[in-house]
Formats: sequence, C-alpha cells, structure tokens
Amino acid sequence: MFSTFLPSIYRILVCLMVLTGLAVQAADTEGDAIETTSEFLPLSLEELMDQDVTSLARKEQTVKETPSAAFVITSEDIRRSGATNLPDILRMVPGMDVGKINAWNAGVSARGFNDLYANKLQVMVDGRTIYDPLTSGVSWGQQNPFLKDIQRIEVIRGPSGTLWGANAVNGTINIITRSAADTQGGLVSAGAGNKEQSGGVRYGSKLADNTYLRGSTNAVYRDANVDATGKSTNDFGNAETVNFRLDSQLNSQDKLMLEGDFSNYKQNGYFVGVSSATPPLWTPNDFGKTGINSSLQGYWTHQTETGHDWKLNMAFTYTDWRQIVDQMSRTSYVLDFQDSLPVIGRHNLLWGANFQTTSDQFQNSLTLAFKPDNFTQNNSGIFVQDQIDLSKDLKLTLANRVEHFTYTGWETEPNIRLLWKANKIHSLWGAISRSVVVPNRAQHSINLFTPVPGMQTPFLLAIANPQMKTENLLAFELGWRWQAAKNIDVDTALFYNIYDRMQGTVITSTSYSPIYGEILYAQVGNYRQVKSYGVELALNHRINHRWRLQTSYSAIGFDTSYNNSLIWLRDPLAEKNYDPQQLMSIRSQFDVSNDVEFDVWGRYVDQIHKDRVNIPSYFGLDVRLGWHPLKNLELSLSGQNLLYNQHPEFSDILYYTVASQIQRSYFCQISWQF
Amino acid sequence: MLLLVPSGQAATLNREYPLKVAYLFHLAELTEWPAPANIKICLLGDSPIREYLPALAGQAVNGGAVQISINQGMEGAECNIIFLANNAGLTPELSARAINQHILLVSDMEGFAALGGMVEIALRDNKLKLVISLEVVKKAGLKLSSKLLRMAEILE
Repeated sequence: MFSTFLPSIYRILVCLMVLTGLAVQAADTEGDAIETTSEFLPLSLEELMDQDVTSLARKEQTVKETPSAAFVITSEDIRRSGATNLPDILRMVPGMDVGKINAWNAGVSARGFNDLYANKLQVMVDGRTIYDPLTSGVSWGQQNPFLKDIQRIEVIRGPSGTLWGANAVNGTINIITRSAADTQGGLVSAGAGNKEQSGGVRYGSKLADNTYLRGSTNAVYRDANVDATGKSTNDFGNAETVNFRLDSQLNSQDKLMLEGDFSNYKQNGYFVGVSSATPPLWTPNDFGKTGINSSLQGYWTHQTETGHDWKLNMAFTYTDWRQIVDQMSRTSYVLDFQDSLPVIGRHNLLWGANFQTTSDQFQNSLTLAFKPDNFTQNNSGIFVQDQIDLSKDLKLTLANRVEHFTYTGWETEPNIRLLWKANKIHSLWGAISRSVVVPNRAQHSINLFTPVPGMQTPFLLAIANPQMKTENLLAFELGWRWQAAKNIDVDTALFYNIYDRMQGTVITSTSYSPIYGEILYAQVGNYRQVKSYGVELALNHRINHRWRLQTSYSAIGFDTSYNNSLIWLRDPLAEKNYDPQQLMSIRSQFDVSNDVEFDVWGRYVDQIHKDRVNIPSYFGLDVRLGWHPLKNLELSLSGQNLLYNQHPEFSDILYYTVASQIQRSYFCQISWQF
Repeated sequence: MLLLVPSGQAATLNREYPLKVAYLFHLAELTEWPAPANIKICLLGDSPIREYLPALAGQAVNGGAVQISINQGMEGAECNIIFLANNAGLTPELSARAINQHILLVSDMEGFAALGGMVEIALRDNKLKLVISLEVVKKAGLKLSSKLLRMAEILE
C-alpha cells in the first residue's frame, strides 16, 4: 500500500509543530471560527502580542492537535517564574525532572533516566542541536542564553526520533528565540542577588524593508554553593554570551534567518582526578573548566510556484574547553533539507534529508583520555512523513527515518500516530514508536582513571567499549485532552516504554599497583533491559483575567532486568532510585493590580537514592513580586528555594564528587525598554 | 475531510480575526466603566470579525457574562464596546454618544485612533498592536488599565 510503504515522518519544523500552540486549521465553518478564536482567549495580552497574524498552516499544529505529549513554555511564563537559568525554567514541564548538581550543572530528563549525562533528550536552539556528542547529554552549565531573547520553549515528551533523529528518545526540547523583527529598539536588564549577578543588553534595528537585525550580550556571575556541612563547594563561575540575529523576508516566497552566537565561560568546582603519576596524585579542588561555544546558523525557506515548502537549514558550531585533566576542541557542521508537498488527496506529505559531520581533538591526560585522540563522526539520514486525513476528526500519521551513524551503521526510527478529535471537548491520541540512543564518543573511547569517589582507594579505571550498540526504545503512548470548562483544560499522557540494550557499567576485573593500590576495571555495555510506565497530567486554569493557575503532576515506575551476578559500578537499580517517583508543580500568576504582579511557584520532588546518597523528597517554593512603575520599566524581587537554608537535589558519582546543596536565594532585577 | 489548501498556492493561514476578537476580550477586561454592568460588545457595519465574535458570548468578564450584538445596527442596544467595521462609521453623532454613554470605540481601520476613535487594532509587521487615543477614552469617562497602556502605543 502506498501510504504504508511511505514511511512518514513527523519531523517538524518543530517550531512548527507546536508553534505556540496556536495555529489552527483554516476556519471554513462557523464552528471552526469560534473554536479557533476560543483557543486564543486564554492567552495573556503579552502572549497575544507575540502572535503572528499569518503563518504557514501546513507546518503548524496547535498543541491540541499534536498527537504527542506537547507542552509550551511562553516568554511570559519565563518572565514570571523568576528563574534565571534554563534548567530552572524546564521544571515547569509536566514530568520533567531537574536536579541541580551545583551552581551550573544539572541533570534534566523526562520519563526517567536522569543523570548529569542524561542522554535521552534532544535539545535544540532554533533547530540547532546543543547536546554534547561526547556524552549525548547537554552541558547545561555551558548554555546561558539571554532569557529575554527567548520567545518560547517547545517540549515534546516521548520519542520523536522520526522527527528529530537519534537521541530524541524521551523527549525533544526546542528553545526558540525571538525574531529580530520582534526585538526592535533597546532593552537593558540587570539583576543581583545573594547567589547571582547577571545582566544583558539588546538592541535591534530595521536594516531595510522586511529586514531586521538585533544584537544582544549578557553576562552572569554565580556564587559558590556549600556542601552538607556548610563548607563552600567552590562552584562559583561566570559566563558571557554575544548573539546576533538577522531576519529577512526577501519576498512573499523567500525568507532568510542568520544567527550567530559566541559564549565564554569559566566554572569552578571539585573534581577528583589523577593529576600526576606521583603523590599526591591529585588534589580535590583542582577542577576548573573554561571554554567557549560558538555557532553560526542560518536557514532559508522557500515556497515554490507548485506549492512545495522548502526549508534549508545549516549550522556550524565550534566548541573548545579545557580543564586540568584534559582539553577538547570540536567542530560540527549540519545540513538539513525539508520539503513539504502540496496536499495530494488525503495525504499531507513531508520528507527531508540531513547530513552532519563532527570532528574532535583531545589532549589527553592520565586521568581522562579519549582514544583515538581525534575522531570524525558522520551521520546522514532521510525521513518521510505522511499525515492522512482519514476523516474530519481522525488523522493518521505514518512516519519513518532511516539514518546512518559512524559507530553503529543503519538505524530506523518509525512511528505511527493516530489523533481522534471526538468532539470540541475531548480529543484522544495514541502512538507507537521506535527510537534509538546512539553510542557516544565517551562510551567508544574513554579512559578514565580516578579514585573511587569518597575514598582514597581503590582506584577505578573505566575503559571504552568499541562494541557498544544503540539503546533501543519501543514506546507506547496514549493521550487525552479535555476542555473541562471554558477556562480549564486538562492534558493527560500515559506511557509504557521498553528499553532494550540499555547501558550499564560493570566491574570486570581488579589489579594491584604499588603507586595506586587496588585498581578496579570498569566497562560500559548494553547489559540491561528496562521498562518504564507512567502518567503525566497538566491542568491549566485561567480563573479570571488577573489570575492563572498551572498545575502538573507526574508519576513513574520502573522494572529493570539485569544480571545480578555481575558487579555493577553504579547502583544497579539506577532508574528506580535515580528518578523521583512523583513530581508536582503548581504555578500561580496573579495580577495584584495593573502594575503589580505576585507569582508563586510550589513544587514537590520525591526522594531519590543516587550514588549511595539519599536525597530526601523536598518542596520547592519560589515567590516573585513584579512592579511596573513606568510604562517601560519593570522591577522585580524574587526568592527561590525559600523553605530551606540549603538542601541537596542531585548527585553525580564520576564528575562532581561533592554535590552542592542548593541554597535559599534572592534576586532583584530591573529591566528597561527604550 | 482534507485540509482545504489550494494547491499551487502558499498555504497561508490567516489568524487575524480570531486574534482581534481575543484583543477585544482583553479590552473588555482591562477597561473600567463608570457603572459596572455586564459587558455588551456590538459590531457596527460589516466586518469579517462577525463570524468570530460569537466566541466571546458568555465569557466571564469581571463577574458578568459577555453579550454580543452582531446585527449591523445597534439601535436600542446598550453597548459598552462598539467595534466599527470602517472609519466612515465614526460619525460625530456616534462620537458624542460614545462620550455620553461611556462606550469604548474600537476598530481595526488604519488611522482610526488619529481620526478621533479610541482604540485601534493595527497591523504592524505581521503582528497586531494597539494604538490608543487616551484623551478621547478619558472624555468618555473610561479608564484603561495601565497594564493595557503599557502594551499600547499612546497617541498624544
């Protein structure tokens, strides 16, 4: 059959896919007109002003019409959260677990498997991936964009590998920055508090008709946190970023975007490594990481006379960091093409191709080495998606991506999705998908020699596994959206995931060295099978135009099978212990008066047991008071983690041997537009 | 049913009128009338917004439910907000009536605020902006919240 043969995809221009959640189908009947309008009514005036009047219908879908667990964080949500960094903002997403390891670094994951190197999320900025191919995780501490430049953050939980490629296994995050046309004029923002000082400047101007340019720069300094005994963990540091963006609508058919980003950071902290072959071997505070990230990316969209929509996207990134135990520099080049075809009968076809090449170069040390010390990886793939309108209320999506990776060869990531809009109040969706986590550079080539954390001896030698295969996920999802009342909507998702060939690290053997004492040899491999199941619930309640409540709750369970007779490096029941079984969040945005905002955010995070450390459950409480004394002036005072002087959120056994405690903090901010 | 996208033509989706209705909703919420009442929004003249306005009917604003009148005339209708389909509707009689009866005059016609109207929903760079003639609003005894004014362009 034609349609089953065509593996379809569902790749979005992501942005496109969930675009603010608001684009809607052509209103060809009165009922649709009202429905379309009703979707805009819950938006705040700020959000409304961000909406484009026209947009490309075929590539956009409202969250309500997306057959997957989608969630959008708006710029208004970011502003009113009081949060000053990306991980804190992501706590808004139902089911998203965020654990701060120190002032800069965090584990961020959805649907389990959280870790400093959580490797199952695809994270992008304007479509450019920012996860680190060394670990397949995101170094969140190295991502410090000017938050006022973010228009929205779109999150899809669950697999979207067909759309976004390998590693979009448990979810995809796309951070979308404001267009240059939306950021005209100037903005100055500065803030200071007991833990952080930060600020930024932005200026945008019109270069020609339909061509806009803006530049922005921001800097942040964070103070050190403390350990359980109140002693500093030395995780202070600073980061500076410069960014420009050019948007040009060349004509009614062609659009160009060019964006450049350069950031520089210096972060300190403890790291236990071997810095010399003779005693004292290492010192506990010899870790500091300095580095730069830079990127240049652009896209060109074109509508052909025959009704095709093309998008050509390319990105060049350069990353360089150094720390006492090693240094790395890496370049990556991505080319991505997509073509959305005119509608053929009931079929809405989209296809695309991508190519990526990444080359790195390490300077190795005794503690941390990657062999070979330079390596190039290529991956290329194609995808096809067919969205079939079975009836007015029933949409079937068939999609597949076939991709080739240097380490593992060919992989395929198909999915099938069905959306049924039962009526105006209820809609149901279901999906079955396959996704893969590709082995990363570290798993294939690491040589890590370090004392076992918390002890002077024995030492640990973690060695690479060139036989490492992909981790595979087969995912089953069900979703239900319910417009409970005009001002209340409920979004629920259920999932059952089967992960095959999951990574695990076993102690393979031991030896004795006169200098180091006992040495344990560890190696990662595809040793385990894990099943996870859970529920995510989001409730949006607009009580009146002054008051809005957003609530989310999630619960997750795991069933892990592995060989009990092996000696595991980390807790073998990792998933069950590493991820909170329940998460809850309640955000209240309240306008006390026209000029005063009072916002409260409460969270509950269940206990975890990580790296032999018990981290008790905790309640997070953040409060923000905002005041607009003048039209273009905003003052705010916010407090975070108000319930505790300090408390632990997370742990990491290999890198940050002493996890910081997260302290109560205050932050006062002023921002002025001109 | 398939998406009604004409082939060979860019599938541009127009969200202009749904957005304008959402702006009216915020205007209803963020305007203070001298005598609180259930808000009635009337359309004067013929505008594509007619098809979308019913979405506001029954919506709660400040404790009451919004009423909609989309018949072209508004004789006998006690409107709190009048949306004018064109600038020609902005007659001296209507302006006088708006000032005496505390009616907020809104339109999406270019130059509406400058011509003596109160709130213009203007299209700028593919986005909708509010242009407000604050003096006329005040004359009508209406008070716009500063939250609204913060987001708008004010004509002096």
